[in-house]
Amino acid sequence: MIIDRRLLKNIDWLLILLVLTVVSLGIINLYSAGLNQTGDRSTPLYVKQIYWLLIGLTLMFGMTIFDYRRLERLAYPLYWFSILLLVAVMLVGKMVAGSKRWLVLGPLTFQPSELTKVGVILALATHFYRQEQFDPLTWRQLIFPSLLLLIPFGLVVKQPDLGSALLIAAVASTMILFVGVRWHILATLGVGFILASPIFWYFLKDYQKQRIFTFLNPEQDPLGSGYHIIQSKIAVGSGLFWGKGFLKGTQSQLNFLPEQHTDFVFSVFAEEWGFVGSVVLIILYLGLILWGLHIARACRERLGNLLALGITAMVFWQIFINISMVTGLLPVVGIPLPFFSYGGSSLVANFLGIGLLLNIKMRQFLFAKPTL
Amino acid sequence: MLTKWVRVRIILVAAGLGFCFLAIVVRLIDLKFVQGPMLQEKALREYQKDFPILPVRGSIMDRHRTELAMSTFVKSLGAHPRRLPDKKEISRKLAPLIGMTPAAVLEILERDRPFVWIKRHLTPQQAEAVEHYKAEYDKQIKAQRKKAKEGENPELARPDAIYLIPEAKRYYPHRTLAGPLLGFCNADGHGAEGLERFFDEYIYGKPQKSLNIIDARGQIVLSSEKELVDETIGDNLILTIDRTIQYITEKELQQGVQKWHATGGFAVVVAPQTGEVLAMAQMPPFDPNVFNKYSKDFYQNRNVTVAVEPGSTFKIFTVAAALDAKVVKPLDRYHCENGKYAIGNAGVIHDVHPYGSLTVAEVIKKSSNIGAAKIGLKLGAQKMDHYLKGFGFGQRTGITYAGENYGLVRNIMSSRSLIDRVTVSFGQGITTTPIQLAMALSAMANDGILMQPLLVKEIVNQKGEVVKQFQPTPVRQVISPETARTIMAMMKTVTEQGGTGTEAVPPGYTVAGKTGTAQKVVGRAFSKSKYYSLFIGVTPAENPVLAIVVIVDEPKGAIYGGTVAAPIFREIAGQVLRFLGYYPQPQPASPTDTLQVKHSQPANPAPPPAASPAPKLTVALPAEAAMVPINDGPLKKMPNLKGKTIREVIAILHNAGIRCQVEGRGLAFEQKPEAGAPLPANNQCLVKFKPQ
Repeated sequence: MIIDRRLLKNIDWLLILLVLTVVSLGIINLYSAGLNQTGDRSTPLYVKQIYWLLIGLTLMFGMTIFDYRRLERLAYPLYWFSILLLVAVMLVGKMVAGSKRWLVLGPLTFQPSELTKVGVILALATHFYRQEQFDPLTWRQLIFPSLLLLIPFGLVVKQPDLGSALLIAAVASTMILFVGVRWHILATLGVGFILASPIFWYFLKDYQKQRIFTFLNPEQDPLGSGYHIIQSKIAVGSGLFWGKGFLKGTQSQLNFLPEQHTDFVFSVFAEEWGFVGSVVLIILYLGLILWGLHIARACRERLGNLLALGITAMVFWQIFINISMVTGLLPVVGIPLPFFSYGGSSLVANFLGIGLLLNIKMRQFLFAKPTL
Repeated sequence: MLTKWVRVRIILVAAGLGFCFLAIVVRLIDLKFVQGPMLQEKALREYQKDFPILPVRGSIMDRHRTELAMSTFVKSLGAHPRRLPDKKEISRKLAPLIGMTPAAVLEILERDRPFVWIKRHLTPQQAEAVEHYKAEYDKQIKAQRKKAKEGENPELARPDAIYLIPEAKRYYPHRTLAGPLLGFCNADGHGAEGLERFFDEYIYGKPQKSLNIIDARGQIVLSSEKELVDETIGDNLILTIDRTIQYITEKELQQGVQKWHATGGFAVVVAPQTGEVLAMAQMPPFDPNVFNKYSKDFYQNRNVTVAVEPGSTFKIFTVAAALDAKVVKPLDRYHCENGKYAIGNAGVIHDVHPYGSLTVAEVIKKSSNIGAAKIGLKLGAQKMDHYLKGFGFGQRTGITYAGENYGLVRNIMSSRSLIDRVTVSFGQGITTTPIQLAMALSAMANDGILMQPLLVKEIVNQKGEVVKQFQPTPVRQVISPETARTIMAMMKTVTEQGGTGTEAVPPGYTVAGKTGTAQKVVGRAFSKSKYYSLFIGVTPAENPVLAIVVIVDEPKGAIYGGTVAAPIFREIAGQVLRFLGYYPQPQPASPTDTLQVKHSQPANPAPPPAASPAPKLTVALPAEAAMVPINDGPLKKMPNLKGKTIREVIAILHNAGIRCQVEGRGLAFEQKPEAGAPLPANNQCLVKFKPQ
């Protein structure tokens, strides 16, 4: 584990700058969103978030010290460990608001599904890397990756945490599609999915069905299940072009907007900073994603390609699902906005991902010849 | 190979993800620009709530700005029934605090309305008890809500479900003083009767809407109520009535009415040159503070709304008309037929005392019906009609008061019955309101010019700016100044030796007047036992300051105006003249009040009240002399007001020029600034009262 000088030279400062900018905006926004959320005596949310940020940064740099290719050997153990944790959650997890998502470890609570995302990315990347296959996947070749996806998916759905489950599915699917699937398989799967969706519907919990009804027509129950989305749309929309100003968002400061420091944190930002602020933030996110894809492309080795793509996809789908959800494009599914929402697990997990991207970027030129 | 493979796929992925971002931006544009205004509207509706602020009525004050009607603040208990899940519990606990039964409270709370009044106008003790209970209740609810924090549980009570609302309540500190004239207000704060009703649009005030910012729990975060409260106060009505003159008039009228066991009475005091009404009294008295304890008959200001037979007092108008039309001269003599005069076949006219030949002046002095009838006949129906209308009979005076009676003047010219045409000459078969009579009398004292009666001097807003001013307004020259002076001289003889009205003269003053006794019309016939007893007069006779009408309704024991009404007139006239600074002979009268506006310059506005020194109180009112400490010199420090009645407090502060906001009723127990503190810079103070 010797740190090469070339490695230090290759630290991707732009990526770090992009992430820190977003996190800073997030903390400023949390100052506003948390203003009415905490009691007088407890630590303000934004301060807690700064602590988590420091932990995240440390772990991020920690992720760069070793050569990411070592992860190839770690991938499956980590994957199965995360699956184990998911099972543990089912057995001894902490019940919050009707679902078991958290493990309590002394003073800390931990959400294993965050680790599962990383585990799935690593396992899929390792699998495809070892497979050394460049043609689109056949039915047979699809079986194992599908299992890697479906085991954690099923466990997370069971918690139930539809948001995280969909996210895992989205990230894994992105990776599988990236590797390539034969057209006729894609077509068959598509048709099959449509035909099978009534069966899925049968397996959904009542509150999940309700969310979908609500998504289709929030006005049907404006004070109940439609409340979140209606309030969020009002907050986002009433910000208009320039926004209402920092700390001046009426819907957030007067507590009309629920969950404003976690899932609906973007609504607070959009209300107070308007269209201008929202677009700036989205451009920053877009920059982050494109830069992640750039890292994936620049890496001359397949494990690096796949890992970078998987991590980028993970960040992307969180952003997309969250913003779509708070603007009413998707049903409410409880996915936080990366680097923006309050929450230690999410922030640390995303920083770990960024650390891995940095790692891949640092070592992109280390290979004289492509592995193939 | 790998590089190319990756490049193509990465670009595809980037394109896909970029497309997703585009979708988000498009959605943002949709929300912020297309739906933005609508969503903003929704946001406003969520956090901005209009709360009506009830206006506060302005005061009604006498000509020297002493409050006759004012607003005090009391608390009322309201509730939002839909926010109260445990109605039974609440009813059980609230009811004893506000003196109601739990069932009654529950009945109110179970109405399916967003807002209900549980009880209005609580006593200070009740309000305090409710406040205490509410503090407990709120604490309880907060604890409950904390426990069930996350859940949106509609079953939980909200802390704002019941609350006390300050409301303005009308208070008449002088109780019955000018009661029927002032009128009163209904529970909504609108004037229901009297001046309160006639000038309601000015006094009522401007209801405002306070824009409150509320949070998701419905709690008020910001409110503009405080700044708006001052703007809701209505204008003040400054009357021409003088509190002291009104008091004297009412007191003397009451004593007279009591002395003669009469059913009631009227008295009007007018400044003849300006038409300002200085006092308008009626018996029995009426206290607007407790208007619902009286029957509706008491509500009316009958000086304006009721017409009575003027009886012999009307002869002065007949004679004035005849003199002015030059059909008679003062020294013309008429034979009075020794008390019995048949008019053709139509009927017979009687005099109380038989007279032989009388001059026109003596007809007035002795009050001969036959003499007046002959003069009326000589004048002729057409001219009689012309002058009656000239004096304003049968028409509204235009006084600022609702429900004015026209009075009844038959059409003399078309009347076929000769007797009808003749009896009008001495005041039978005609009715007039007391205010009409007072104004026509004033014309005699005002060189023949009829003035419009004034009840209100001006309307002033809370900043002290004059909103509306009422100027003395001449209606017409009814008779020539010479005729007016002649008739005044004749009226003076009424109160001199041998006249019918000698009882009307206060010692040291002179009076020109006329007595009258009128049979009341009961059904369609004149009653044999029920009379109006009248005296109308002007004093001092040479230099008229006051025109006074006194009418006693159904006196018992004596009926003649000279016996019943004249002494009341004497007491009123004497006390009021002294109060105004006109001293008994031999000194010539010296006016100090602004009543002396000459008729030659009626358009000239009275000098602004601030500049005109208030007349010195030379007559201490018996009712107040005992209570109000005599004020030597202006106050320098806040006096101790504790234990004093509202009336006393107002009197003390009024003398010091301090405006006072009154809360509660009973005796003062708290004041701001404290006793001994320097006078407040803004001349405003707050005094709280509670019953003993």
